[in-house]
Amino acid sequence: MNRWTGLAVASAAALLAACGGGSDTGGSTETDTSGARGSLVHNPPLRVTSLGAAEFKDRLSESETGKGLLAVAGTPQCGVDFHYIEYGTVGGAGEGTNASGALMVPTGDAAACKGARPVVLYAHGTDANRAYNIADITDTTRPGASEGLLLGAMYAAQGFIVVAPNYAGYDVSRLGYHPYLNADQQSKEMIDALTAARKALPRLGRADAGKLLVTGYSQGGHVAMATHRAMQAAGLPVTAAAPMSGPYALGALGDAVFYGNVNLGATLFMPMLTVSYQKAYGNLYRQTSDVFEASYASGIETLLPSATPLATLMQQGKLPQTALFSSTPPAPMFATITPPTQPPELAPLFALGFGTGNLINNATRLAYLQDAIANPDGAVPSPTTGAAAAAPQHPMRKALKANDLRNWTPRRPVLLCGGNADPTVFYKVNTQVMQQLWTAPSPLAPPAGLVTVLDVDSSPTGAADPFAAAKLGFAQAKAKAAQGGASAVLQAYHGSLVPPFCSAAARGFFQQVLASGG
Amino acid sequence: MQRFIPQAAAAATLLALCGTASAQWTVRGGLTHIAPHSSASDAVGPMLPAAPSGISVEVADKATLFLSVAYALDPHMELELALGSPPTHDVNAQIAARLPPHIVAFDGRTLAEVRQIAPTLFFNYKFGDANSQWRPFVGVGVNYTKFDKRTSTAVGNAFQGGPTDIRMKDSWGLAAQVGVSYRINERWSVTGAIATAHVKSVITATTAGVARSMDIRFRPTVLTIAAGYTF
Repeated sequence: MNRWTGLAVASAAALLAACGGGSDTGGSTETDTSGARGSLVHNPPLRVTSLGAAEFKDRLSESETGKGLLAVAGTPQCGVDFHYIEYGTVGGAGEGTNASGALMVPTGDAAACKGARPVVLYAHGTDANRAYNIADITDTTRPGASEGLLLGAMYAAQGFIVVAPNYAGYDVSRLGYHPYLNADQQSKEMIDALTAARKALPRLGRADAGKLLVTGYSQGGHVAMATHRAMQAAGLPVTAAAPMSGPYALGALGDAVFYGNVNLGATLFMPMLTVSYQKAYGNLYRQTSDVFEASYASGIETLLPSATPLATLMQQGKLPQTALFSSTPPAPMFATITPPTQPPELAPLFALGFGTGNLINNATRLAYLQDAIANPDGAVPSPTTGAAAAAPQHPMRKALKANDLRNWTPRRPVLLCGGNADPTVFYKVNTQVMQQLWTAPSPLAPPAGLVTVLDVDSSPTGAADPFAAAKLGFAQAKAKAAQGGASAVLQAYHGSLVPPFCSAAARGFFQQVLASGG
Repeated sequence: MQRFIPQAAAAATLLALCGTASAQWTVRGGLTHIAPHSSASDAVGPMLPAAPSGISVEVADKATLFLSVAYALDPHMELELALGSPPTHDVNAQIAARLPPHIVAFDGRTLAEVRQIAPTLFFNYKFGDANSQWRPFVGVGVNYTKFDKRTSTAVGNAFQGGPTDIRMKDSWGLAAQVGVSYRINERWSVTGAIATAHVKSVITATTAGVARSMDIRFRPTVLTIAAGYTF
């Protein structure tokens, strides 16, 4: 018997040890992999980082950009928990997919930081980097970090809950492209991100005060307005909206570009737009070389957004730096707009859009222009009705019209903010066109006072100008940038000069709407 | 079932031996102190500080009960299967001082607790003759380590950003020991030994679907004192 005893003891010990194993997560997590629109995949969502108000301030004080932001946004009143959400949404053709984003929650004991808080739903600007993650502020060099910090400082640290999607096609999204400026998809995705974020709030011990403020910059300006329009149409409450520097009149902007007013960044925007609309409507090309020059056509459908930095893609010859169109006119009658020489102050900018190694072939530009002449837009090349083209025939013009926002009237307060010299999203054919459409006697005009338009690149109208601080701040920043020359101002204008001041103005506008019982 | 295979194989080996020789079985029980001397890489994964992340861990020492069963092949050679009550170790944060204060605040705090089952099969050579009172011995062997139970603490969850699932890969590696046994009488003896093993694993912490991992190596110092009973 003896010989068995040892073995029995050893086996018993081994067996004993093997029971009750596994992982204890120390808390409960719900997982929803249904992929349904607005489903929150992980609840509670990951908290990326948690900064106290003082620490947030210190963090911002570490860099020049941060100090500038601190000056514009003000000292943080609240700490901020930055959460990372993943949710179910749709792609540009209605296909199910997933995407991720940020949920920022104010923390702290101050009255303005606790309890139920108003929600800011924010749409970010164009980004070429697939790894864009607005929730990841841990390293400011990462794509999305600076926009995330701006949102955190501007809104969350002042008592707003912030929801900001990264968009389908970015970060962990399984979608192989981004439905860029697709008004239907992007507004659905904003609503899905909001729905998902609202599911997380109770698990985080927080509550939505029932006030929704929709804003966004550049591409996100378009998305914000499209979202306001979609929510209003669906009867979902919106308290106020502040689209900033967005291409609202997409058809007008598209026509302006094809008429030779090539905007800064066009060689990034055009492939993203073309692929997005091809995925949604399927009729922009049979093969990519129908639109793009042969040297770029192969692989361009899957090029953007990319894990490779945009500058590298350009160095590799996958995209031209600025040459959107050929410097050879697509027909003799278009010689004067290849490139345009008027107005003289913009001629150097437009000239950058033309050259050898251009992206869009002349056949495409010609067909587009012929349709633009036959079925003109109401704002470009010369202002008539201000409305979108009545019956465009060219597939790109049809697609732009389908996503053009010149067809609705807001019923809640709107602030349109931008800078009149924006070389990327032209102010005149977007913000001003919307302003005219929303001003009596236009049939789309809402009651007077509902729409406010702010050009941060203008002088204060007087002591009572509520946006005097934004205008003066912008003027200072612009003057500082001008030390590097006119080209430095041009390069910084859309991407870094306007955003903080329009954001600050938008926050002031939202606070005023809330204070007046919005 | 897979988790039982190494133990079963070891047991089968012993079982096979016991039919073939007129042998002696010794069961040893006692106390053991495990200093894991862990060394983990900086954590990698989404949404961590820039690489190297400056976030790592250290596995703390632990004492536990020791149990082994040995089978003497001849007066000098024996096979010994060392087991013991599986110890649960604290896993403590090691944070680089350069990181922001709200992260550094977690330095040294216990993020997780992991239980390890580490059966080790030694081949021991005992010096001196069977009746010597003091018999030094050396052993080489094979260690299998399974981290069968992992718990993320409340502190760990606060650090990781939510309830966290922790996984650790099993490890196979060489082991060695030196020791001495003192013979009290024909049945009873006392043994003291110092052992080590090569243990390598990967810790993966998954919080709300986001997985961060680090490689971890152990060069443990295992001090054991045990009473033996020979059948």
